[in-house]
Amino acid sequence: MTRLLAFLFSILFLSCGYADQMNCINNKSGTKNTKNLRINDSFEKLLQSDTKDPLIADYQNYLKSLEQKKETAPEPQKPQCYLMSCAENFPVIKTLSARVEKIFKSANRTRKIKKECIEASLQREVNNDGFFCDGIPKKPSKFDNKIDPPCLKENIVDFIHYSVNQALNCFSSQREAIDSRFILKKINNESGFNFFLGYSGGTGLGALTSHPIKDTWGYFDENKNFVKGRVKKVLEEILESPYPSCKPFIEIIKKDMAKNPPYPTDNYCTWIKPGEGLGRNLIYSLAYYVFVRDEVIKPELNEKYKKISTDKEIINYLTLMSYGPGGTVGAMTELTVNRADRLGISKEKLINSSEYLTDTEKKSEEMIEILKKDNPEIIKKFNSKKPAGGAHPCLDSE
Amino acid sequence: MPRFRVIFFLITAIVVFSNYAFADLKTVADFYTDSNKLKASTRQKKMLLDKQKKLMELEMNMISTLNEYEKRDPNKGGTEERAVALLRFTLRPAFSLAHKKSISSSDCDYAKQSVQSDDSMGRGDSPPLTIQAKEALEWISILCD
Repeated sequence: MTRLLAFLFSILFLSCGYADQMNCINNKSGTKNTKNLRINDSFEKLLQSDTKDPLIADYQNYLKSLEQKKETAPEPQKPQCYLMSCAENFPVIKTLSARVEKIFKSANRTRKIKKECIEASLQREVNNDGFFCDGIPKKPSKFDNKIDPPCLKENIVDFIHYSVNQALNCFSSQREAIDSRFILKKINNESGFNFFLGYSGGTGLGALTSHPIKDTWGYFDENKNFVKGRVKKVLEEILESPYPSCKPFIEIIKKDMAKNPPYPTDNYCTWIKPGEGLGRNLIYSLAYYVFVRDEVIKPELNEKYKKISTDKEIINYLTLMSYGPGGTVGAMTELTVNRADRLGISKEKLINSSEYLTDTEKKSEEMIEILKKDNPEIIKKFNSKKPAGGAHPCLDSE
Repeated sequence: MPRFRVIFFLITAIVVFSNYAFADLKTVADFYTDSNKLKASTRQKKMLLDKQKKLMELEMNMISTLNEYEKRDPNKGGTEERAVALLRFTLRPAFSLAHKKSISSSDCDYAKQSVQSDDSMGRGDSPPLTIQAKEALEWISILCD
């Protein structure tokens, strides 16, 4: 009898554990060993606390505004009188309204990445070391993401989704808007949105290494003189951004301007901790992307490759390619041997010429396959609209 | 027997022709040799302009060789050309210093960072410098010292 009871209890216990694992967004198929809830639990605590973390605080405000929207019953439509239509008679209001409209218009310049695609990307196997940064114990503790991946529940995936899209919006405010497809491809390839990864190959969402960080923030040379990073100007531009989405990122940038952040391998948590770490990773990843696109690739194409200098798709693929071996040098070398100055170059040819791009595309297809399986309606809806160039099932259409 | 003679003749003709066709195009190894010679003579120069002229000489040689490669293979370049192009583009930050009227310390820092960042991409955290990046940094330090 005791044995029978023990057997029943163990079945009950195991099935509870299984049911709990089923709630792990990164393990929808149930094939991963996602028993560890530590990242999720510490995020939950942080979210409930009165935190000073700029990105978490911003997210808390966003959640509050959602709650308020839910609580307020829908009112009958009133004539809209706060924008240009009623402001014509009041010059001060007119100026302010124009500014607000400008912000709203430009806020739509980049398209949001769908949460379902982040979920699909999280299903992929990414086999590197990860770190817990919850301060228990105080030093970050390492785990093997292949053997013991953490469980990521909906709340933390919502937070990743919010943060990535806010960062994309912010970094599109001061320059040509970022084409979100390429950042999705990059993050899907580098970390599969497993923001907690840290190893010598790269850290966090954007798999950052020390050189791009040196190149952004700057460094002290052998004579202890401070050398300003080439990419720092992108961060300085963000400090001037009027976009509300930039608010938490501006706070992090200001903090880094006052005191340089450590390199990832010296302190992984600075770059991966949910909140500020994730925000910092996005800042440096996106700043480097727009710098390479605008200050290296575009000028080079304008000078020598007129045939492709206005092709945004090629510009973005070349920028993406610059994360592979050789960086921008590798990208320019391929343009030379492919005679792109005379013959131009197609997207397909460019992808085939780079192992890094081929690999990125392959992983992107893998993500889309998972999306098809988990959310077939998204693909169906996307295909029914006869998508034009630049469309992607993972991006919001509006 | 005559058939063997024809085959032998054809093989000889191909070898002779390809030697002729490839002989005039410098390889990346040739450019490292040229670069080392130029660096040795540049180190003795004190004037920036003299140093810049030596580096521009290397740049011009590389560009004209790459043009020759393109004439030979108009549709797509091969491995040897790719290696020359890779060295050329790695040296690009040094070449741009060679075209400046005066060089500030921030120009030098910018050039160094450019070489180091590109060289590290896709190779993990703080990888050892590649041979072409070392070459570029040597030229930058010659111009900047």
